[in-house]
Amino acid sequence: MMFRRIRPVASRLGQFRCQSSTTSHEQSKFLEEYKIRTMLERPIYYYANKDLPKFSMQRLYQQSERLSEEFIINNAQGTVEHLLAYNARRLKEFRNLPYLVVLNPSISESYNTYLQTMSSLITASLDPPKNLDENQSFTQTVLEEFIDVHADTLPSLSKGFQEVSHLLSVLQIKDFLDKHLKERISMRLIAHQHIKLSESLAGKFVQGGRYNGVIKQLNIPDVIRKNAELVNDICLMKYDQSVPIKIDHNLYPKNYWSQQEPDYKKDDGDVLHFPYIEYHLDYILTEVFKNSFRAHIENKVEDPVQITISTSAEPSFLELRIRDKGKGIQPKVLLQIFDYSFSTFESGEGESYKTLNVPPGVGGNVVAGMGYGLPLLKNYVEIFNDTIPDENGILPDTKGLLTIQSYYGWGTDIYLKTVGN
Amino acid sequence: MSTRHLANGSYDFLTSLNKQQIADHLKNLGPFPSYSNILNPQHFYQNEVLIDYLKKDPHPVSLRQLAGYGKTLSKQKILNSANFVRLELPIRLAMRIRDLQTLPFGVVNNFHLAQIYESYYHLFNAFRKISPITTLEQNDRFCQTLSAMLDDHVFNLSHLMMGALEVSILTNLPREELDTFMSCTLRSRISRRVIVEEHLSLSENYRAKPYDSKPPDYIGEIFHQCNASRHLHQVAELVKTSMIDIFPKRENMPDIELEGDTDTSFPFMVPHLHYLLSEILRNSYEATIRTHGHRTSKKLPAIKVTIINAEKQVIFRISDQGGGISHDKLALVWSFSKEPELAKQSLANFHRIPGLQLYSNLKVTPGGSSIVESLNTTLLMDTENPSTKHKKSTLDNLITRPYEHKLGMGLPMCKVYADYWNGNLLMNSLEGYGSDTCLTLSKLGYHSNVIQLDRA
Repeated sequence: MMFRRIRPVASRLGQFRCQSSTTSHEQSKFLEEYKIRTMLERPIYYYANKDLPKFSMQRLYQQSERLSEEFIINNAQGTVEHLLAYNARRLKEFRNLPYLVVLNPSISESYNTYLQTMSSLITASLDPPKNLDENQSFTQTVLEEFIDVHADTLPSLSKGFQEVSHLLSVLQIKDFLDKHLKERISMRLIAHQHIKLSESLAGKFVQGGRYNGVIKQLNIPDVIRKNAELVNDICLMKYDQSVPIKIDHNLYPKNYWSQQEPDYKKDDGDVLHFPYIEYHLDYILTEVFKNSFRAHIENKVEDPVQITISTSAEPSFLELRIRDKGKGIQPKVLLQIFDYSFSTFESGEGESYKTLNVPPGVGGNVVAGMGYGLPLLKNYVEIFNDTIPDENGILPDTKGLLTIQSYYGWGTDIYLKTVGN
Repeated sequence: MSTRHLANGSYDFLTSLNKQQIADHLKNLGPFPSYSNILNPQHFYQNEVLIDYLKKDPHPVSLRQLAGYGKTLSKQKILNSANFVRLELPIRLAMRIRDLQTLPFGVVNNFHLAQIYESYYHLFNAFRKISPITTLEQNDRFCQTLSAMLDDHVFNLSHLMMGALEVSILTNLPREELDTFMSCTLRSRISRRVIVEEHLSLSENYRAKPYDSKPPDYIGEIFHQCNASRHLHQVAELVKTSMIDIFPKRENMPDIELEGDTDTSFPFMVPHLHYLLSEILRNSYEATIRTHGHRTSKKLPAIKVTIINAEKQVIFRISDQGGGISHDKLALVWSFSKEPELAKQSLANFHRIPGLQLYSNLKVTPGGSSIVESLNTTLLMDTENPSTKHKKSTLDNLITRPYEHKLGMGLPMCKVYADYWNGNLLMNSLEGYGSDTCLTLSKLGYHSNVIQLDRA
């Protein structure tokens, strides 16, 4: 910072006098610094008060359909402005926490990260990209940096909130973290969308197509298998075991007599494909698998974890049921499952919903035993809280949801439903 | 808490250069300024020690206790007094530090309030490490530390007021919370300083006249017998001088007309009395000058002061013909929270006060421990008698400031001072005519046993 302490001044007689009053030079310096100081909070107030567009899959599709050179240039500026609005809100929320809380080094680390990106975004807003080359460098420096810098902040934040839990009420922490996680997902999505659109534009993109951005047609069974493998890698490292999975879906009931698996290679078009954001689905599945697999291993269950897929095109939704036989969750633990509780993984009872502790060196979506796994998962599901109205007005509106149904002593079913557009 | 006035394009209309400056300096909104010895990542964990202190209760004291009641001072009484101060200060500081810790980060992260936080914490650290005082030599060194502390913290008052003004400008704390915080902090500050000054004067006296015998109602050297009328006139002259710039014809300035118990005399702390009277008179003079100054070339209507010498109190009713205040404004006159525009003007005025100390001189050992050390210790100056008689006072600066440095906090501050001495400050107004301010001060001799006089 720009302020310094007063130093003693030697007078003619070689004595030291305490310079207790400021000279006019120091006074004008003080006023200079004051002027800058008063400006610092203005962008926070300005951007935090801006209305944000409603978050929806619809919007993401529209951006994809409108993709063109001109569009991407405009979108760059729009992206910066949106990120500034979200970033400012985060800063405002942090600044509303009690002073001592933000002095906690883990929490201030997060706060400082947002200061850093706010600074970089403001600089970017003063000179937005005007052509494809500038857009390229913009995505690589500003956007990629934004995503990187915020990528691993959650473990630290979790540690921080654990250390300040005596300074805030449970409700205060929950409110803060719910908002924080939701807005964090939104910010990363906005940045990713622009990056993906830019990539598509530079590579092969479909003019007017819907899948130029972050939303892609996903092969759901592939995604499921990929994530199961990932989690099994962790299990192998930690327990020297892995857990098998079994996938089935609504149009291919298992051939009961032959016990044969349905043939997934048969291309039945869109039934097994679903448009969604891959890394969101990755996170959701990884998190659920971590819990289910661990439950199986710790309870020495050899049966596979069963995943059932049900998709619909019109209206577009995807429903998954992940069924395990991991002996279930204790009712009282179940009540707290979406709380940012920090103690469930401490007790050595082998509760089936403790998240796996990932050994160091394993990168990727690591939410290592910090109690944030499920609340974050819930936020990923709820981010597209769109309702799909029934045209006939007969059926209730549907929206994304997550339900945990546990059969204590037997196992747990997790129901996941996400809307497609 | 509206931030509209700040949000309404006030960022938008900044130039690109300014915006870039903001981007470059944004990291200064972080919690750990580079100049600070205390505000760093370890502070949160080191703060555990404060939590322990908060479990101790402060010991409220009465004046008589402070004054070392009884006929003679003794070595034991001096040492008791010293240890009392030694133990009490950290406990009281801990409470105020905790207050700051619970305010929103955005409020305390302000440059001024952060200075206060650091200053208090520095002192807290320094004092809790002082070992028990068992000899008079130790007491002498202790007194030097105390004296340095008073010096160091003189500037805190300005920072407190500037911090409050900045809070008003940013509207980031509701009125009631700001008022509570300011009253609490100021009251505690007065209390700490009175306790310290009492001990210093006690030690000084004992050093000079160890066998001196005191009357049973003795309450201490820092209190002087004040002749109400004399002090009123004294302060009025100072106020008139400060008004010269807006009303050059000094001889036409309002007179002070006394009535009532004009020969009243009572014991009080002179700096406080002067501050109280000067803020009130300043308001009256300013109002009278503004209302009548341009309408007449004759002498302006006098300010009438009624002095009432009640048994346990002295009451000053100061009536002016300054045009009065509207009743909705009257209610807000005691609040530290101002309208943002007004706060901006006040703050600008504050910045212009000549010689006001703006930076702190907190010292640490090479090992990082906080120490309180007067920079005068290497001097030829008399270091054996840290005297309270010549103590620097922020109040002095404030009293003599010229008119244009209007701070807008005079009345809220005075209320805290009056309140501290178990007195009161009220205002009534006849809109269009003038205002009556009523200052009630307790006669300390009568209340010397009253423990509530001390607010931690």
